[in-house]
Amino acid sequence: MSGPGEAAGIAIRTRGLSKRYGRSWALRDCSLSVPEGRICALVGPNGAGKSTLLHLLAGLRAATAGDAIIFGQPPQQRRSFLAAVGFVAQEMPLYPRLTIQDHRDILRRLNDRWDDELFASRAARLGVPLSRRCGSLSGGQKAQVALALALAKRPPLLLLDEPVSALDPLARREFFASLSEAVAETSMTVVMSSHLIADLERICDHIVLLARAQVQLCADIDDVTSAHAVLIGPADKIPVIVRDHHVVACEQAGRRAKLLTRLAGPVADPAWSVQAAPMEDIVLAYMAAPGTHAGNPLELARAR
Amino acid sequence: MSVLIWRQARVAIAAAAALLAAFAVVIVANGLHLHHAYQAGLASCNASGTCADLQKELFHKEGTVVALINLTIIGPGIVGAFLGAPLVAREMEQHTNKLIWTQAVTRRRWFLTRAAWLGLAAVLWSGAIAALVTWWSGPLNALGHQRFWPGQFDIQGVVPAAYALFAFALGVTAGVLARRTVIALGVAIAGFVGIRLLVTTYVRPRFLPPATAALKPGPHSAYAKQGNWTLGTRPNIQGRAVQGHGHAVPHLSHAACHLSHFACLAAAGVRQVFTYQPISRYWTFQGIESGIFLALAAALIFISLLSLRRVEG
Repeated sequence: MSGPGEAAGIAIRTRGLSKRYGRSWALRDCSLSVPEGRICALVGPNGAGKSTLLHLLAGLRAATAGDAIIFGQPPQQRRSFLAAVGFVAQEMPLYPRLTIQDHRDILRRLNDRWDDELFASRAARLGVPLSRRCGSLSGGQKAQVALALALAKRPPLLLLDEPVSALDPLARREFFASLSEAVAETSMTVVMSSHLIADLERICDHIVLLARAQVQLCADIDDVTSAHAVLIGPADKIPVIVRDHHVVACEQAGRRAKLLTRLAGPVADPAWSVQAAPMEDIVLAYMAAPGTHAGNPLELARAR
Repeated sequence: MSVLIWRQARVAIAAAAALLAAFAVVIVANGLHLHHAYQAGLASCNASGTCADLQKELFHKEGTVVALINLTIIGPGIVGAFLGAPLVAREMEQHTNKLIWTQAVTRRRWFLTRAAWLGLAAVLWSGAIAALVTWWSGPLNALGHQRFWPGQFDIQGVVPAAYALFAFALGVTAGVLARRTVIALGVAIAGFVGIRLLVTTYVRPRFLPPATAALKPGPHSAYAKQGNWTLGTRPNIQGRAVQGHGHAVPHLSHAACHLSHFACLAAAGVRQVFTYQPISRYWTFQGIESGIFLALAAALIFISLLSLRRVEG
């Protein structure tokens, strides 16, 4: 898949990818890379540019500046590119008047690599007759049909935009279960945006954090959790920590301070107690912190 | 791809086919009767020399069917716009463009395949309606009915099919630009009516330089029976145009004036000058008009294709 000039094993690489709508930037100077085979969580507050990034990667929208390379080629109107990327939009778009079987017949003819058995087995587990019109399906069923259609295309890269936002907790769990099962069977790379960090943490192994239209974090989840810690200690010693490490968030209660910190090395001062930082706290800290742009987000991976 | 087009459009196609079938039944049944009556009437009127009245006799009792025939003038615009406007706009509205544009088929190919099939459907439907109307109007045309005149020219021959393709292309383009079916439909129908009126009123009379004929004053039944398209008439005295009212007619010949009013005027050198497009140009005009609308349709499809590239899914 990857050309000779391209680093092997990289599914997505973007450089300075930017998108402007009118006068506001939906995505600005976004540089990131996602290794092949990862399940990548794309997180960030509303309006952070998650959906824009996925649309740019799927080739549905054109970037204002910068570029993206997906398995060695930019998003373009070529069959080889279109076949390499599967996309499930937030709206779970299906033709309301057509049946599930209609969708299957149509997409089978449009995709050379279509895996009809995979679709059949996933559709059978839905417990809905294939003759049902998609307009009459529940939100969870629509999501499952949309996922089954995207998986049966057998794309090396699958992009999911807020796939579970409209689902109840049970349907959400079923959706994630069927996704991780499908990913385990293939060597697919998945990028999935969501607000639900706890859910993502269960199945994702890579994270891209967007906030204020920029990339704040892009790394393997294990690396992120081991590089961050919660430090609890005396408030008057905060300047020392700030000097040596990168403090993402700071909570002060009287003379005690609780710092969520990206460590640059071991914390020598025994006055500070070092605790593991939960992923959700790290993510929320980066989302909330004003101007904690991490510079080059790849720095984290390289430092290790 | 064709599967998608057929399954998406099957309700519309079935409705259009049913409408066409119902129309065909009425027109064929009535037309057979009409053709028969025409042949019989022709034989007897030739014997008695009263063929001038045959037209009235045949058609004035077919009021309802004549109304139906004249109603077909709205067919190509409606069918074209209704098939064209949703082609891209409906996909954008229900977000299914995001489903279909991320399959292993380029946008361009998806668009062209869809436009080709649905455009063909619009052309075939309107062509079939026009063929039925042309066949039904056969006796009427033979008796010198004004098939060249605006209103009749537009519902017979090949132009309705070209109109349908133009309306379709207009709907498609408006849909790509507006991304809303209802807006695209409104724009397409308004634009279609506007352009058709413009062409009918100002462009069609000038396809070829009109012919003129200076006829003696009278009922001109021989001229009228030829089926020429009269663009205008002007009285003219001894080769000079009559300006305004109250022009004096010189040198009235009393001998002629005893015979009839018309003969009197004719003897005085009064002529009725007809500016017209001769009926022999009918098919040339059908060809030119079709060519204009097909060229407009092709240009619109090209514009849609260019705009589609920049459409943000």
